[in-house]
Amino acid sequence: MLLPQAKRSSRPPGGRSSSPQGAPPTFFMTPVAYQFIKRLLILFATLLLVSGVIFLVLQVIPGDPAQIILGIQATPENLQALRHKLGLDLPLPVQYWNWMSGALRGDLGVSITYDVPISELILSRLAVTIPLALLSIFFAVVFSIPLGIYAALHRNRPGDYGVMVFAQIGLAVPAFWAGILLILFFAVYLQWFSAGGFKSWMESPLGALKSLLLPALSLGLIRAAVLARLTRSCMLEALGEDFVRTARAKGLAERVVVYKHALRNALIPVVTIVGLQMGELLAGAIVIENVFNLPGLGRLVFLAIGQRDLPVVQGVSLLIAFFIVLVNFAVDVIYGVVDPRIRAGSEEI
Amino acid sequence: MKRPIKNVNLIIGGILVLAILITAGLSFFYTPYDPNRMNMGKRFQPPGAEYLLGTDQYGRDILSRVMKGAVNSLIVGWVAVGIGMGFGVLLGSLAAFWRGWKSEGVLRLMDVLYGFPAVLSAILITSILGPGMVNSMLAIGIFNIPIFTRLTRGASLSVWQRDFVTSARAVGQRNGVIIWGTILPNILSPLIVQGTVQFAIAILAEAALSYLGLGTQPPHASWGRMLNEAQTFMEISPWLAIFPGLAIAWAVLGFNLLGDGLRDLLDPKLSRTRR
Amino acid sequence: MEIQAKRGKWMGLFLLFSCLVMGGFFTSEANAQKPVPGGTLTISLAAEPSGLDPTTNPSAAIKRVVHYNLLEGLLKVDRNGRVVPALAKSYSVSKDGKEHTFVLHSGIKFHDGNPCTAEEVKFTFERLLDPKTAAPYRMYYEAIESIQAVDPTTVKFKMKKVDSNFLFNMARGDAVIVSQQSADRLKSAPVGTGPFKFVEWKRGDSVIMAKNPDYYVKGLPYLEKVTFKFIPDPSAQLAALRAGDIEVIAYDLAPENVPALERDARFKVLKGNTTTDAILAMNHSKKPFNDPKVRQAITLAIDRKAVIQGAVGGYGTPIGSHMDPTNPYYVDLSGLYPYNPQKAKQLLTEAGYPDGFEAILKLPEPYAYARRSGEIIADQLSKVGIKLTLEVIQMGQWVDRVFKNADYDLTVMGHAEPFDIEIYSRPNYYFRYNNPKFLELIKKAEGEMNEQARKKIYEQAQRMLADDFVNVYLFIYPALPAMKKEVMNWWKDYPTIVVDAGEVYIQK
Repeated sequence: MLLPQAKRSSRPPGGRSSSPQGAPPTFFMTPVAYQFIKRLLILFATLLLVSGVIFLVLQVIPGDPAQIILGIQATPENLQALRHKLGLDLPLPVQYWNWMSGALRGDLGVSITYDVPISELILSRLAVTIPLALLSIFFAVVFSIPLGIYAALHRNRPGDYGVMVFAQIGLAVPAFWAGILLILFFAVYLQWFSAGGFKSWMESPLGALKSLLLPALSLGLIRAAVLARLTRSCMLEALGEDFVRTARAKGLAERVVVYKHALRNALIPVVTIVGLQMGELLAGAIVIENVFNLPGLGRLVFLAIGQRDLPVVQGVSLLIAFFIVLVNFAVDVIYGVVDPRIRAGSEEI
Repeated sequence: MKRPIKNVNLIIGGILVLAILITAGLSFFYTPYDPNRMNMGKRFQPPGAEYLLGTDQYGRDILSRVMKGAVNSLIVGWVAVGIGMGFGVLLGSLAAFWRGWKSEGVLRLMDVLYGFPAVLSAILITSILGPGMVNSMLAIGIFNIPIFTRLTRGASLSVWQRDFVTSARAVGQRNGVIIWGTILPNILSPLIVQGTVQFAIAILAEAALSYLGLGTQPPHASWGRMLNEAQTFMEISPWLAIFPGLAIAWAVLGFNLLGDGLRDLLDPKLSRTRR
Repeated sequence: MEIQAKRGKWMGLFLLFSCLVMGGFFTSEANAQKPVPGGTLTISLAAEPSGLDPTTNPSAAIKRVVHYNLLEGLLKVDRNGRVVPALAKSYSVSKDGKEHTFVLHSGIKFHDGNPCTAEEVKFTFERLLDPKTAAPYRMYYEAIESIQAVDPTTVKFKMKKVDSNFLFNMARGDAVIVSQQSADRLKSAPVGTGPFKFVEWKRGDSVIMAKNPDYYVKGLPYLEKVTFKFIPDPSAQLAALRAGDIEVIAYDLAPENVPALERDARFKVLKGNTTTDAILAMNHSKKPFNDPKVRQAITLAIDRKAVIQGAVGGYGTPIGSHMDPTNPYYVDLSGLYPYNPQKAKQLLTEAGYPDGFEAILKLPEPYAYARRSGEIIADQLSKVGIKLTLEVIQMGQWVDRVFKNADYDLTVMGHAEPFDIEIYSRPNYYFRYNNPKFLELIKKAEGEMNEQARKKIYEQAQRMLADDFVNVYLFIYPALPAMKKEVMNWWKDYPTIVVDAGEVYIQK
């Protein structure tokens, strides 16, 4: 994972718009319900906008798909016939409508390169990308949370500085370089792993897991750096809260105070951020899949762009965009419901 | 303003960035060898007296190429952040100024662009426009715009509320003058900080795009591209994969620390929960 | 008497023992030489074909999967580059060169059980010549006037004119014999006469084929099952080979990996030639490449050895014209115009470019050897003042801009088709080279039935291309098939576009 690795301020969930000063008309519904429906409408509008942008943007890519399929010797008649068959000669809005209505039904068209339904292609690739993403999150969380807690508890002491240094390095190292270094050490030098490639789940579940280990580690360690800092600051914030002082005053053991009370509160924004940064995880997966030559979604879209396989690029972009928008929406909603109090604190990363 | 002496980030970051700038500047006058000159007789040399960091698969000196790569990254960073900041500040100021549905609309649009994974949008943009340094600057610049828009809008809004602005408006000063003369100077601090941070991100993005083959094209030196070429030859010469990556990490670390340090320096309020 | 008997017994035992030992020794020796039937083989290829019909799609990726394995022609090119009989048991040509007669083996069956007779041969070529089929290489067969099925195993081709390339063309991948019953299924589930029959095509993954028990050559094939696995990335192919997922890397081993693989006792790498001529093509319709002095300068400014070293790890064979060494008409002209940058500079000055000039070199993205050659060439040409800007473009764009529209200055490409020197006789080919003298030569060669005379003419043709500096002829792309030590009978060279598993066996 390389791009905005953390420095983005988290989207202040809930009231980020500055308008709700005046109370909206609430004849028949509660303010919460109103907010929810408003958000839902915005969601649909966003999805529509996103799909439109993707569609338009990709029409601009040069290269005639019909020419590419039929090759050098194609006659103009054959080209025209294929263009007609692919529906490339219809007016743009009609093409868009056909595409979207098909997509909603689960039919994203057929890949030009492979001549297979795109939904099939995507599903088979998801079998690689999703486990990769999950494994990355697993590594990220397993490394970052304990480190963040440790740093918060040993604030301004060497341990804290150590964690902060780790965090800074993690932010600076590109994930694909981390991947290359891991390959260099574990595959080339130690020969414990292969330098890339993927054993399918069918053939060998353990082998598949092994192929995902180094890639997930590359992604996960980098994200861990970000999350460690976040955990630390959220813990510090939580530890400074009133309820912690109260708990201490009540005479509860320090451990209980820290883990049962402070941590639980601190984790809420952390989990939220993890959810919000799913998009970046996917983006990171694209590059990592290229480093390790994994047949996942990211590699699919990358190769498809190169091969000018427009339907595939459109389909995958749509999927990724929708997924991100939906995740953001879900996080927003849950957040607003769960704890409005913590909104302020999570501005910080 | 805090005493800079306690500001470790600023110092270390400053040193790292200065080193990069000096290296890049130096490369215009002197590099140990011509970074693009091939020498088939000296392929895959390990680091040594003759070639400080070794040579690559064509016999080109890695140190010279790393130096030129610094120039490449810096230029891309400048232009990309410049584009992002330029358009972002403009849009953000307008959004803060407009209020109402226009403001909401801009914000929503930015949210949409913001949420889309930056790598994917950069890849899409470079595949439309074609690979190359200029197009990758554009692509990275474009995804910087939403960030600066939101920042400007948010920061501007709070400045708009302040007393001296209200009085300026009461006196009848034109809005343009207010924006230019009063609002902007007051949001300079967060802009500088964010700009530095985005610079680091731009360097990472450029490296990723070049690694994928979409950025700076051969034979020009680019850290990301060097890593891509290095991967093919890792078994023969591991050095190829180490130094360019180290350079990227150095540069990004430098700008990140600098950004943090500037934030502490210019606006302690922004870092309230961290120290 | 007793002692003698005892000694006799021991002698007898000794003799028996030694006989057994010797016998065992000899039989195991014999076994080591004799191919062992059985076993499965997984072969990796980088490019997955978009369909499996070689007659309607020019892509080499298709031929590599189906030619010789699933589909066969009347003739074929063997591993030594010679045209030999395949489905045809024998063939003859009339005195005037205008009638070719082929006699088929008897009892050849298609994979679906239908017999392969002269009628099917007639159908195959009528289909190939039919404009509706849109066969990409129809021109190779245009000299055919009519096809006659004399009897179930004899076919007569009547030609419009003498075509000396006819027999070679009959061995090409698009001349494979297909059945009327199954011609429409060729694209996705081909039915042919080959040693293997099609089983399954897992899109995006592999093509699986199984032994054809009714193959007309008794004893072949040895393998029970063959799988072609499509792995686009050469390093992934290498990883798969090492991990044991595949047994053979057919084409795409990156040359820099050869030493490491050879050090590994489990594997071996064969080193041979393909028919791919890697060339630096120059656009004769663009200045300054229409000037022979400039072209000569460029040729002299390029050090082929360095290009071969950097682009294909030193494993390619340098060439001086557009023909590969496996071709019987090949003449080695690689030393004709050696590396001489000083002379190159001089020539440029004479041509009016004392300070050189600028140009764009377009490179095809999928071919690493072409990209690397381009980078090295750019460096070498810069030393004589020619500044090149490199543009790496996708294959689709290359076909569109460079091949179709000649919208380029320079490009590097590998021409895989064997014996394709006649492309220089076409003024609209992307080189835009228009030399009536060359066209004359080619026409003459095609009409010449005498082998010796033909050889002389083709040599002249090669020399003409070299002396005219039409393109810069760099090297022949090496064949570096890498495989497990136990895989035997694999082709060392690839004198035609084929990956033949028909005679391959796995030594136990």
